[in-house]
Amino acid sequence: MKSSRIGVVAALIVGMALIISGCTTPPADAKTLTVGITVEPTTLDLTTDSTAAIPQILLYNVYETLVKMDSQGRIKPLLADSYDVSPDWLTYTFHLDTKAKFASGAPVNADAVVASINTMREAPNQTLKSQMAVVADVQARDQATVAVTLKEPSNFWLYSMTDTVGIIFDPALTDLATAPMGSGPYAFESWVSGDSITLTKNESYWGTPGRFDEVVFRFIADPNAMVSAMLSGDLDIAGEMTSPDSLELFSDASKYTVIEGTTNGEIVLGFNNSRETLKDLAVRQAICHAIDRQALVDAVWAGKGQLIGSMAVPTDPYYEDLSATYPYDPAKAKELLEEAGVTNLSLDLRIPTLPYTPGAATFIASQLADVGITVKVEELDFGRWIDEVYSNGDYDMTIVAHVEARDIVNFANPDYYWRYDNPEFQKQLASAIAASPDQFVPEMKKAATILAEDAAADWLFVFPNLIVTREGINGVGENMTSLSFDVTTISSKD
Amino acid sequence: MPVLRAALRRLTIFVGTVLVASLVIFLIIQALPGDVAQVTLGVGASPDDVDALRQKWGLDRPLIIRYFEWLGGMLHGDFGASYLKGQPVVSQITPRLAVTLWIVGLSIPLSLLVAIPMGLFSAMMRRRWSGALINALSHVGLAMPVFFLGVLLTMVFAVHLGWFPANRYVPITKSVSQWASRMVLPVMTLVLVQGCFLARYVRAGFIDVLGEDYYRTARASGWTKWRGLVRHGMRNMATSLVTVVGLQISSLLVGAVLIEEVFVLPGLGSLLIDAVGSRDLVVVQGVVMLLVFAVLLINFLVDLAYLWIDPRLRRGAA
Repeated sequence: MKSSRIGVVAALIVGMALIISGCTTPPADAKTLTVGITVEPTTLDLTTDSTAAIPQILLYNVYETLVKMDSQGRIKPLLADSYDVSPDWLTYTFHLDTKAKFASGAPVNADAVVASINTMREAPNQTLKSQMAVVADVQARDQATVAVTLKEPSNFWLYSMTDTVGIIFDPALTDLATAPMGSGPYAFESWVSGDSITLTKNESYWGTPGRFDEVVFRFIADPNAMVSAMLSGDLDIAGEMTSPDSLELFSDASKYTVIEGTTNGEIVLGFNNSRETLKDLAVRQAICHAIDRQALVDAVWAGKGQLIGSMAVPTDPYYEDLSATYPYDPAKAKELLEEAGVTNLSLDLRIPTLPYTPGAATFIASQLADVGITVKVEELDFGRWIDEVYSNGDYDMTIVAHVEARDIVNFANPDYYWRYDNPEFQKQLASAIAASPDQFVPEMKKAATILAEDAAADWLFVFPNLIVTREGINGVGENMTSLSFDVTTISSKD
Repeated sequence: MPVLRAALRRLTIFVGTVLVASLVIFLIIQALPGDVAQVTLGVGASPDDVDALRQKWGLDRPLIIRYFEWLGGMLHGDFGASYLKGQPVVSQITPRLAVTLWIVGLSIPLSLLVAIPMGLFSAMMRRRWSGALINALSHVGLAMPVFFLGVLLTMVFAVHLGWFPANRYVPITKSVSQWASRMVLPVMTLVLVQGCFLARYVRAGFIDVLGEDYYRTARASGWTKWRGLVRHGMRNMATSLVTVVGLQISSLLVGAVLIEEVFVLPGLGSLLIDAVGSRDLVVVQGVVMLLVFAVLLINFLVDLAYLWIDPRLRRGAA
């Protein structure tokens, strides 16, 4: 009598099919690009909210910056067609592209640039404000020239100007939260809560125009839903694959292209360096020796993701592979703990609920148990994590990805949640940032090495940029060097 | 007028419940760890900036004042404005509610269409292999997690067969056919699971009826097994079924979030989850309050349904 149940289901399907008879899904408009991303922003006001999903959608696509970061981590001109740096490295003079104009038609002039920089200097979003803290003065020399004077030389400042903090707003913009206005090849069109944000082509774009009439960023939080949306042809690009195991479903190269690049996201096993036990270098070293990071990446993230060993990623100019500083060596870990006289060590590992954290935490807890460290894993929702771990420092260890560029500076802030206070590192980083440009890279390498050797944290791996595109889509950047999901270079064959 | 007095008592209880619920909701939500200003400013904010934002959003004022403001606003349909977007909570809830109501509104009647024949059959045939099979199938359906079944149906009907799109919601006002085709898989998923769940109650209800004296009398007076059961058993079974259906509707209103995640539908459940995640407490409060209203309303309707189903209760009330 199984057939009667199937019959009911079949009747239901037929009934439904009748309702929609004759209407199969129309072929996707060739001029629309649909990109699936995982996080929906709560607001588009990036001067207040630090959610990475805002610049992911808007940066370079809707908002432009004076200079831009390409997929290889190099600085390229954008709204400024050139810039000069004074011999004392204090004054940057930007020469604006005189063709540049906002989607509203207003010109991108020196006044707009000065106003935007001043907005960022006072932004409630602390990341932006601190990146602008080095700026002493901004002046319009003439309608196409802006001079920015720094308090002290900074090799970081120009890099940061390629990112969110460098955005030039349309002066006509009044509602940052729901109606962004910029000068990019696409303009903000609409936001359907819980579903998508749609951008339309900026018909009067001053540079190479966008190739699509419409770009739709769809919010798909569930990894399985992302996979099925891609498989069923609802997406042109699955912009973030948070289930790396499922990449093999897209192995048919005639239908899909799988892109595996890097991002700025260091997945950090953070230590609370103010805890008595973790103040002891030998203990931190022992923890690093006890964890087989390659096996962790293989187990947790399907082997996608490079090992890094310090707070720098492969697209940083000063990157070097420091992952062998404390290689996997459980015997050595036990020895270090014994020498330090540490027994019965028990640590809390308090993690926010994110796709990669529970797996990594379980793996780490088991490996640390092998060397005699008891780890209590506790999962917190992100709001609670921010409150208890991040703000109040109530934790021993935690795991989170730090996605911002050049976030090595956070290790120089003793109040940051790692509570890492190392004057030697602070001095080295400061001198690297203020060094002459030719000394910048070697000095930064020294700073990154200090962190690695001091085992200030354990850097598990760099978050991979995993993207699937359907056949015919070209120009997707391999590496995510800024927070932007840059669609300006993307085109479609059909 | 005992009916009026009863109605008045019910109304007092209703208002009292809503008031107590609103206070409880407000206090619990205030006590949640995690602060909207801190979550918004995120990794890197200084205490001064957090305080400034709290002040801007009026979060620094006393609890009691904020509670009465919120309560007063709701009396004339103003649920406040989201901290993050600055938009009225009502305008955020309405489109989400529509999605959820469609899913729940379609899946409950359809699952009854599945459950009643299934339960009736398996009750009647409970000593035969066919009834046992249906019963076993309903257990399987019951044990199947909604999200798993959703993924399964997606793989079969959307990916391999390509019959229906597996995700995204299109408002019915925009395109009826698009709307309908995108409703098929989520509703089918819920109907299979809910249908199996309800079938268990239908089966138990009919089995009870089979042992009742009135059924034996009906049979003795010449009713056939099946017709007797349907004619005399349905009403009696319905009382317990209505209770369960009422509970199911209440839990589906927010419980549909799993379906919303799998099929990427912007419903009420996902709004609630997102708002909790970003600590946009005004939105959380609004949604929870709305759900409390809905549950109380459903309970009321269930009470009315008892009166309609069971004439004895009507006489009792008069």
